[in-house]
Amino acid sequence: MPTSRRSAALARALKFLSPVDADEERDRAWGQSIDDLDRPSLMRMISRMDPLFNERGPYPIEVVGLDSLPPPPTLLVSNHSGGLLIPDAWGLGWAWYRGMGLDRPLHGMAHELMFKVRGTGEPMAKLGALRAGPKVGIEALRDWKRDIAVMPGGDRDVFRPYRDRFQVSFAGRKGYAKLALKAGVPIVPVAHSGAHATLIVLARGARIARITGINRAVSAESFPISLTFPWGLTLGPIPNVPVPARFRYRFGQAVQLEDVPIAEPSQAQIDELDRRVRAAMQAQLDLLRVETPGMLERLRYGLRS
Amino acid sequence: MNQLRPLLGALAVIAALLTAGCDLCWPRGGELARCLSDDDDAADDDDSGDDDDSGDDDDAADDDDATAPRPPCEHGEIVPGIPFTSDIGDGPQAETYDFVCVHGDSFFMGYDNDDPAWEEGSERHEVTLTRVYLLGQWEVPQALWTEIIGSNPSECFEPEGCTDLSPVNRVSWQASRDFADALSALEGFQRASTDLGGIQSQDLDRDGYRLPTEAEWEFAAQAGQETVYSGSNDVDEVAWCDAFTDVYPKPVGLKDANAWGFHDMSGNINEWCFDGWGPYDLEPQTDPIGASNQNFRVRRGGTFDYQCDLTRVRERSFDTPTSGYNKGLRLARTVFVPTK
Repeated sequence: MPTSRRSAALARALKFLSPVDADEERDRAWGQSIDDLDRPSLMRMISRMDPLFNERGPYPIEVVGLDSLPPPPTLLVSNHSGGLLIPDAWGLGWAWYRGMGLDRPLHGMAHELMFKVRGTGEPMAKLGALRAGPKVGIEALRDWKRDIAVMPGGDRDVFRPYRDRFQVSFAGRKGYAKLALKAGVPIVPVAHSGAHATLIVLARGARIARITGINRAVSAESFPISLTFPWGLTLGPIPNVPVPARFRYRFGQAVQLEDVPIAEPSQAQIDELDRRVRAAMQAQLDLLRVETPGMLERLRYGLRS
Repeated sequence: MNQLRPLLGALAVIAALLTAGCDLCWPRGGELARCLSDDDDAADDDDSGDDDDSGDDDDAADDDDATAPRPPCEHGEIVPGIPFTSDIGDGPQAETYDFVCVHGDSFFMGYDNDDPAWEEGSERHEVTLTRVYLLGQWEVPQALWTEIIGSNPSECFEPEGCTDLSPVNRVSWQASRDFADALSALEGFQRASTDLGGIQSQDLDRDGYRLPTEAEWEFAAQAGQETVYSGSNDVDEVAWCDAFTDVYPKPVGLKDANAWGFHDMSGNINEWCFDGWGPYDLEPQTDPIGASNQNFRVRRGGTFDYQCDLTRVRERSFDTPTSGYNKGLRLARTVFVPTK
């Protein structure tokens, strides 16, 4: 590659990764309104993901229970697996739009950091992503009657060790329950399996994150040790090529406390809803444990089995 | 070149003969063939009533008119359709899903450039429809769907305003096609759906039930008028929309019909059309069937629970063909194809 072209590519990459400055943020803060969602962008993304997630693709998707979803608004609460590239979240979006269509948009709540980076903020907002936070969440659910998806476990869940792949791991985070109570919407537990097999997380590395100060620097509690393709043994959250695997999603029965919405829910109400959601999700994950082939079976019958 | 002239002349004669042959064997099959045989019968009757068989020129011309295939229904005629039973709380009632006969013609589809609603991909352009088709007066109600398929995909709770006669909801484009095919098989019509090498299409010359093309849909929705919504400029007269608090669409046919007798073409529930999604081709079109986009299909009409702007008669949108949320259908069927 000629030097000028190489430097142009480098400049583009740096611009992509550069943080959004305060002036820009004031002029146009992406991810704070459902109006950022852009149907043509969504359409393009679904088309691009089709070869990945259809039955002939490397990550074929199976969905159970989407048909019995209550009318909007709902709060989808899902487990999270698959590392930095979050293939489970992309798969959930694709499965949602294949099943529900663009007439019922799904807004994922994403980490604030994503909207601070020039290259990810605008595109993600155009796909419907919203900044994680109670104000935006309540507006979208209560005022706009939109469906929202959250993965409360965040980085701790996405780097959950392989041996815990069928365990609910929200890291004690219960903000989603408070949001549902305040907005008065039902929570639909969505259990997922498959993305955990696209890389093998050996350890979450929470202690390394603490010792090195990474947890304070980027608000992340993990510094995973994993086996990834093509890098092999990998230290830290490094992008990898996800190994082919079948993605399974189970949408459980909606969970809701009585007499909602509650303007200021008590801690006991939040704890109760959280307990019920985690129990419902664990029940779905237990079903997935039975349905999902183990490593040896996958090696024998095919990685996408 | 001179040496080739006799050969070209012979080819021209053969081509003319073949074209005449096409006239003789058209239309074909199913209801379209019945249409022709009805005309033949009528012609035979005329002949039998005519004492003078000597056959002067005028008689010959009359005979030609009598034997030429004619559409089986007048434009705008209500054609009794599919019988079904509904129960909206006071016991089973016999109903029919009726059709309106539409004679295709030339019209302008899409938004004018100076229309505030104009957007790229839905520009005004001329379209000619050549066929005569039937299009359902209403969206397909849940009772009819349930009778044919055996189950109802729509969530429906009577206390919240949903009845057996509410439009079927939560049906995918694919399921809508399957429904039309099942109905065609039941009534002895040709299957309009075709699948060639994974490309899903439909044969508009067959007489079976099918999804309307987007152009057929808009032609019927405009009904020869220049109204913003189908049948009126006052949205409240013709459309259920903007009801953010409602959970279900309303029973079909409660709002006013448009000039040709179609109800709920604006609002209530989105209706699948056959076409693949893509920007309009702005050249004059004849019987267009949309882009060859298998990933997204056109749906029209807007819904009860969304902005009324989206129920405008020229407003177009699309969705994934596997999705069903807030989507139903209106059946169409070709009944006459002009001689080619």
